[in-house]
Amino acid sequence: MRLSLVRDKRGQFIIIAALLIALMIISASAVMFSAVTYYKHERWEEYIIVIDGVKTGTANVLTLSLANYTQTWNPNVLKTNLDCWRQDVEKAYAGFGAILSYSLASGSRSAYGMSLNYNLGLASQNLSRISFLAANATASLNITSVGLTGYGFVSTVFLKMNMTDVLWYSGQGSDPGQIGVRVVLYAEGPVMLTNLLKSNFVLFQIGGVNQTFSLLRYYESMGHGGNPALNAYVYELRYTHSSKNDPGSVTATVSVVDARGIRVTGRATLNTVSA
Amino acid sequence: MLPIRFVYGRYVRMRLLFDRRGQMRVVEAIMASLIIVFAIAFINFFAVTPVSPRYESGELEKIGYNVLHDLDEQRLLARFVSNADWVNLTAALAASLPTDVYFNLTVYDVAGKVVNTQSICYGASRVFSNSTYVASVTYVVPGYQLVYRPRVLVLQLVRG
Repeated sequence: MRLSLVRDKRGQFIIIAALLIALMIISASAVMFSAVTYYKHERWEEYIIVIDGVKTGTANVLTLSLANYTQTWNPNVLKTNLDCWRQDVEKAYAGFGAILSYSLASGSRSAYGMSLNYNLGLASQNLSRISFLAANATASLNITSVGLTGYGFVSTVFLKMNMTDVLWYSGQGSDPGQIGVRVVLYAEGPVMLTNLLKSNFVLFQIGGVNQTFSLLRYYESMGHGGNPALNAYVYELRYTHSSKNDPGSVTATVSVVDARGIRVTGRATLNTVSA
Repeated sequence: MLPIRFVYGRYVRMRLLFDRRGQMRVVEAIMASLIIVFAIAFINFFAVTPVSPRYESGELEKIGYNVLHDLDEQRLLARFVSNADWVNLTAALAASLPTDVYFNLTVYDVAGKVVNTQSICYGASRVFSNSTYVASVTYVVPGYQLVYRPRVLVLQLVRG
C-alpha cells in the first residue's frame, strides 16, 4: 500500500491545480488587502479635513465680509479679512504647513443671468428693481507637509432681490384698499430664500414713508397679470392703502437682511395690478 | 457446484475489500481540500480589518469634523462661540455625537490663549486618561455676522 502510494504517478495534476488556485487566491487577496488598507498608511483623511475646513472658513469669511460691506460700505473689508484669514490659517494649521493664497474677483463677470461688476471681490447694485450683493474670491491652498500644492477653489456669496410686481386689492364698501409688494430673493446657486420672516424685512416704504405691513409667503407657479410666469417663493408685503382708490403706481423700497446678515435694498416704481 | 449468483456476489465483495486502485484519488482530493481550506483560513486571518490606533482615531476625527462642520453649516457654531454660549455648545455637541463618544473642546484665539471660561466636555476625565486612542480635530471659525474674530476649536474625542 505504502509502496503504491509512493510510486503512483497518476493524479498529481489535481494537487498542482489546487496549489495554483491557492496561490492565485492568496495573491489576489494580498493585492486587495493592500489596496483596501492603503489609506491607513496615508494621512489623506486629515488632509481632507484641513482642506474642507479651510474651504468652509474661506466661504464664511466672504459671507461675513459681505455682510459687513452691506452695513459699512467699506470696499476694503474683504481684502482685509482675507489677509487676516490667510495668516490665521497658517497659524491654526501650522503642523500641516498650510499656506493659503487668494485673488479677488475684478471687473465684469457674468453670473446668475446678470452682469456683476466686481471691485476688490465685491459687487453690488442697490435701490433697483433687481438689487444684489456678491462676493467672489479664488483661493489656492498648499499643504507643504505632504507636498500638496495649488489646490484651488472658488468661494462665492450672493444675495439678490427681485421686486416682481405690486398688487392692488380693492376694499369692500367704503373700506380702503390694500397694496401688496411682491419680492423674490435668491442666494448663490442660485437658490431661492424660503426661510425669511417678517423680522428679516427691516425696511418697507411706500413713497418714502415707512409702512406697517403683514408678510405673506407663498409659491407662485402661474403668471399674474402682465408679468411673465413666476415659479418662485414669493414674499408679499401687504399694507392698507390710505384710500379706496387704486393709486395706479407706487414707489416701493424694501430692505432685507438675510440669516447671514447680508442686507439688500431694492427700490422700484411699479404699476399696480388688480389682484 | 455453487450457483453463479453466489460466486458473482462473493467476487464483488472481495473486489471492494482488496482493490487498492482509486485510493490515491481519495488521498489527492483530501490533500487538495486541505490546501484550499488552508489558503482560505490564511486569507481570513489577514483580511480581518485591523483595529489600529490610526484607523480608530481616523474614524473619530471624521465624526468630530462632521459634527463641527454641520453645526457651522447651521450657523450655530459661530453663534455659540461668538456669544460665549458654552452651555449650549456643549449640549449641541453632546446631541450630535454618538453616545459612546466623549469629547473635550477647547476654544483658543489666534494667539493661542484659551477663550472658553468653562469646560466644554462630556465624560469624566479618567475616560480620556484611560483611553488608548484620542482623536483631535482642529476647526477654525472665522467670525460671526459682521465681525472677523477667528477662534480655533480643538476637539478631542475618545470612545467610551
